[in-house]
Amino acid sequence: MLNYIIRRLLWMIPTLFGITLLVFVSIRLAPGDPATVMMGVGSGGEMSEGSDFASRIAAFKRENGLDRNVFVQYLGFIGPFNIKPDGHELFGGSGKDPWSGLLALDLGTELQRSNVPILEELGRRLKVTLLLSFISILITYALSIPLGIFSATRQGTVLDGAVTVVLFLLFSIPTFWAGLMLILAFGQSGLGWLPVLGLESKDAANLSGLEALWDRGLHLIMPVMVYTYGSFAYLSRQMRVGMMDVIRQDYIRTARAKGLSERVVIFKHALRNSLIPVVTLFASVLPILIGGSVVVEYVFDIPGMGRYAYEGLVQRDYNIIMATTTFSAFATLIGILLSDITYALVDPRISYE
Amino acid sequence: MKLSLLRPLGLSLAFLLVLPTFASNGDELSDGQVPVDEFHPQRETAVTPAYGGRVIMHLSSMPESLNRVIENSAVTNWILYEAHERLVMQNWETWEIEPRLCTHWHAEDQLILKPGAASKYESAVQIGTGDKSRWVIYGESELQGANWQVKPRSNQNASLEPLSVAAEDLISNERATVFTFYLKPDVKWHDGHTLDAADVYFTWNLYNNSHVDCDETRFQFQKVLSGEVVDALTVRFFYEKQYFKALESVGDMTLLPQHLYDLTDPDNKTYDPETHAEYGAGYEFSEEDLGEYVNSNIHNIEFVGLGPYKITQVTSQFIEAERNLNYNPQISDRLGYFDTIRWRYIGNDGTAMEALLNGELDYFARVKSEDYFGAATATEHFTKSFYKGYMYTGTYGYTGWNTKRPQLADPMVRRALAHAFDVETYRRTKYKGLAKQVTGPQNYFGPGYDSELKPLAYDPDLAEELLAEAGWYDRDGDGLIDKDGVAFEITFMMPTGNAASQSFGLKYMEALGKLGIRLKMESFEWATFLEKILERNFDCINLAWVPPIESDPEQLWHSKWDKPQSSNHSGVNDPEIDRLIEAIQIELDGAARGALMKELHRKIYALQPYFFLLNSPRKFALNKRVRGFQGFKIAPGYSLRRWFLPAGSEGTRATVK
Repeated sequence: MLNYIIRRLLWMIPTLFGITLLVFVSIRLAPGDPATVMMGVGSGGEMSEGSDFASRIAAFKRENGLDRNVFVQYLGFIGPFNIKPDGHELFGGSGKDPWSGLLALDLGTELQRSNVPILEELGRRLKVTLLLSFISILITYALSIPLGIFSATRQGTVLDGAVTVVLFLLFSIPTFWAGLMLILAFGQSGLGWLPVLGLESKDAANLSGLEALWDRGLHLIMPVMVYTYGSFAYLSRQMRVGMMDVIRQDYIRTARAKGLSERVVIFKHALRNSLIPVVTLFASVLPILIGGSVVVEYVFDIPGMGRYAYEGLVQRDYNIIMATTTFSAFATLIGILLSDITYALVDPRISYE
Repeated sequence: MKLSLLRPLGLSLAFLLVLPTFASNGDELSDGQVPVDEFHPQRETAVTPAYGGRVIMHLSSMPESLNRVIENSAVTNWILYEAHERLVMQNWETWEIEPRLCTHWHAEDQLILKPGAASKYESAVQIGTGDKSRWVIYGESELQGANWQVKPRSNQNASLEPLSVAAEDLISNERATVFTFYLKPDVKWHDGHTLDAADVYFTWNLYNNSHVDCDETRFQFQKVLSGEVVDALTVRFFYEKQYFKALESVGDMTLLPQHLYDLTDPDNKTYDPETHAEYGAGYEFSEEDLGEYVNSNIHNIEFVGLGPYKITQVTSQFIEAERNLNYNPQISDRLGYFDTIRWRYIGNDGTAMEALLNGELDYFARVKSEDYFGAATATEHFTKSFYKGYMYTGTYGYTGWNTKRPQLADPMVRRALAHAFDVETYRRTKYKGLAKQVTGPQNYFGPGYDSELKPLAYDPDLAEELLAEAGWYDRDGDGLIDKDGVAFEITFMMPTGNAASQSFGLKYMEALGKLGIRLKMESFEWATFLEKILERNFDCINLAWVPPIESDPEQLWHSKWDKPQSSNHSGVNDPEIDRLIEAIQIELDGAARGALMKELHRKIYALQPYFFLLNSPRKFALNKRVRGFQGFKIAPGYSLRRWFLPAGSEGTRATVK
């Protein structure tokens, strides 16, 4: 098993580089560049009087190494050589700050806000997104497992049909629409029950511990709902299918023939095996939740990882795009690996030896 | 001048309002009176301003830096209106330039001496370096016969006594190009240091350092040949040549505290006396070191300014400023009433509107038309806590033609394209009559706008005639007009998600279709859209400009900017327009300059490089508890220092402290 894990980890290195190369090429092929955006985005789509566009754009490209050929730029991203004017002498820099890039564990600073180191910002944003993801995963599993069992054990009944319709409806609703509808329903435009913006009130700094917790809780309700309903619908169906597969097995028939109660059959004998597909899905849900956070964080104005990726894309901030996609790719690869390992752990029939 | 997306202005036809209307351009401001609380439902109720409380403003984008030397963005500028002060400032109501950090200033003429003539005059001084070095005498000058009589006005002028200078000794006399500013005493930076002339000189000198990230605005300050610290409170600048906005550009400079930005200042915390001692008095950091230090200085975020508010918090969500109790009221009696101002960043306008309704914002100035005239601002919740209004800042929407395209090269064709669309009906139906049709690029309310000019009337028959006269008619019977075997097909380019552009584009497509012109619509997200404009890769674009009251027309219309990566997107290249622009730039008399601007307006009107559309107002929503709102023609259109909570409101008091 250990050999398998090491082998998989080693394979992740070229895979990750392949992904970064694909993203790097794609984003450079896309129209628009950060230097042009800089002229407009900094002021909400307004450019100020007396702007010498050409000089500013040229200086911006020079400062950020965007005037170098694209292969050198990719090398700059990978590292460890800094290709900017203050970078390694090998690339014509002053030598003041020779090392940077992925290999030097330095993803640089944002292009539009050069005083913001990306790794630090990524850490800050990730904390927010992970909080949402963690709560969402807990709720998803807490609801979808019993619901899946409920549906599977009542297969073909009106209740099962109703649950199926509701889950399909939930699964089909686009998250941005759901977010806006919740805001309209529960924000001040509607019932006025819940805050609609961010993760804390404007005066959160003045609140006591319990008040702050309550405030945070209220702010989390709608984002978590939007975060959760899609994966909840999906996992419930997976659980239903898993349970249905298991209760058709011979050993379940045997258990029933022995005269065991239905409760014991389901919860003692069927449940563990029916959980295998759902548990293994856990590992792959995490990267999906991080990716899915773009819409939720944008709609609810939450400064998380998803919104960071979106802002980077809109502003053509190559450094943010590369950092967030590399991180997501890494999380996905780890997720897949964990998923495979979990399979082997929960199902003795699977072995990687 | 600011370029913005044409804001969505779709109005609900189901909701008719009788709207207050402004008189024709300019006249409502002529007496310097701007109505207070014009749209507030209780405007008739007298209230007493009180100090204290907090106001939360909306920011649609987060500034990278609060140091306007390196970030020339509108949002930074707006925040610094409260957190900083300038040498001079344009009066919001009268538009006159008034002293702010200085008690007064002197503007003197610069008599540039021919080579060799300097030796004749003891008071001649050499300014500038390299190719731009020159010998000058400066003062108030008057031509009397063959001589200029020069009287020094400023303190410590090199010509301490009046003198006579032979006209034949001069290369030229550049009027009002030497500015001497006299700073007010006891003006303190937020950290307690005293402002002095060295700070002003230091800041200007940063623009001469190629390593400082001010490339966008550097050219404005490169018009200044030389500067000098005359004494602790007096600083002088010499302009290269006569320029009507000279005072504004130096006077509006964002001053930086030398003790926080200069590595060689002993008051700087990073100043290392041992290093200086080791290298001796001549030791200096390189320009590159200084540039990097300025660009990455912590105070670009933790900004230290001179205004009545000091920045206390900057997060990824908001910027907060609190009252500066050490603000010297000699600078301005506009101390501001609120104790705290928070600028809250919300990138999405829909979310921002919800945030307003949820009490997370007090002011939001990007209210969509459908919300302004629709249900969102008619609910009990809204009318109980907020009110809505609008203000004009000279914004005008336009469809810009790429005159380098063969179909659009002929002014006659462009006039026909303007006659083809019924702007008046569109204005009345779509904008409920709130917008005003413009005919030229100058600020609608400014002195350079020729209100005598009438918009080109809707006349499809005339449009057809003009097109035929220009050689465009349907030769092959396919329903499209053509010329030289090419059908008249053009693409209307707009930013993605812009409802106003979309709505106008569809109507325009229909109107041009009747003339046999195919208008295709294409939208691009902002980055791509901007890139295509700067590369001049378009047929026509839909955008809006926000010109200041009086703008220098060079960047938009001079042939020297008829190239990609410039603001002359339409590719105007006309010697007469160039001549007018150059005349405007050196004309110091306001009335004469206004006449030249109007002449330029007429010339551009004749050429029609843009299909000039509508001056539409900014629509805002404001919390009812906030009083003192006035709508100004200068962006952002309001002055926070005039806003207040009425006496008796929670957390307020009668005095500043």
